[in-house]
Amino acid sequence: MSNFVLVNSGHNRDDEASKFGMWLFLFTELLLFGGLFLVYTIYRYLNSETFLYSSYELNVLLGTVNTIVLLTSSLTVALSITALQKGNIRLSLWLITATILFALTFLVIKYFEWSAKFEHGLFPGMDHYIQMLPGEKMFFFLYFFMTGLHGLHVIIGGVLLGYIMWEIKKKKVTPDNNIFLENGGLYWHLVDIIWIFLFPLFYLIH
Amino acid sequence: MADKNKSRHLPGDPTEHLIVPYKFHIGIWVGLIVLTVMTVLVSVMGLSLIAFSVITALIIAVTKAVVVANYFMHLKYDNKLITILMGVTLLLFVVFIAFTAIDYLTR
Repeated sequence: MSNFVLVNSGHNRDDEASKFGMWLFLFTELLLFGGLFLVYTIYRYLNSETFLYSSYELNVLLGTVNTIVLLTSSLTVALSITALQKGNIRLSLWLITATILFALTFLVIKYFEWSAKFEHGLFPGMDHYIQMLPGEKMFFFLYFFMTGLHGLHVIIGGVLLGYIMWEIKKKKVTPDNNIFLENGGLYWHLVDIIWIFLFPLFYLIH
Repeated sequence: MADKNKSRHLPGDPTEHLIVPYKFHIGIWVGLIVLTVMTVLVSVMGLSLIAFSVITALIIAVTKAVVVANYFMHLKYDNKLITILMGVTLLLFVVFIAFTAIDYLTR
């Protein structure tokens, strides 16, 4: 009676289930952006010429640089998971720091791109925008909405990775318990995948 | 490979998965950059066949997404159920596109 020990008391860990949960969330994210890509497809079909020449307003060079920045940040976060799993916590922290710096680089470039569009009055509701053809309006509306929603995901992903760094420093995420970093990485890769589609569809259609 | 001396996992625990080497990830990254440069060149070189460049851009984008999902997101090494669910999600998306297209193309 007295030496009864409850086996496996406390919180049970199930990394597999954690990962499944993350993926289920990512599927809803895919469908969220999928809906927007659906809107894009239909309006592009209805206004193919206006979409075509509107895309010339976008800066291909900045778009390409941002694509490379995001792909590289995907690499650093993937490497940080390998580093943590191998027990190299310092390297892992540095690689996550690099990822967050790439996220900031992406946002700074995006800021300059958006500023140029604001100066030309292309934001929905601005003087130039309201005089445009319906197809052009739709192009810039979707451009701002989709890159804006994507930018929001970049911010959330960066904050999430910062929090995971904090958890690694507090030894709550360790080489033996790294599912939080893996799931954070999954989110970051999803942000990258969405940009992989946004980039050609908005910048490269001419 | 995970340290066998640590009793983190029960024997045969499916969560015990391999660690993807650094070099492998860097190789994947090089491939992705090459694909990005390709897709930009196809567009900037100004191939006059618009439909061709759109299809090329989409094929390259899908290839990049598959590579990121398979290798960076470890889909290839994880439980196959995740891959199946991913397929279901994409099928759902194709149904959305198809039914909307049927509506718009037949007006």
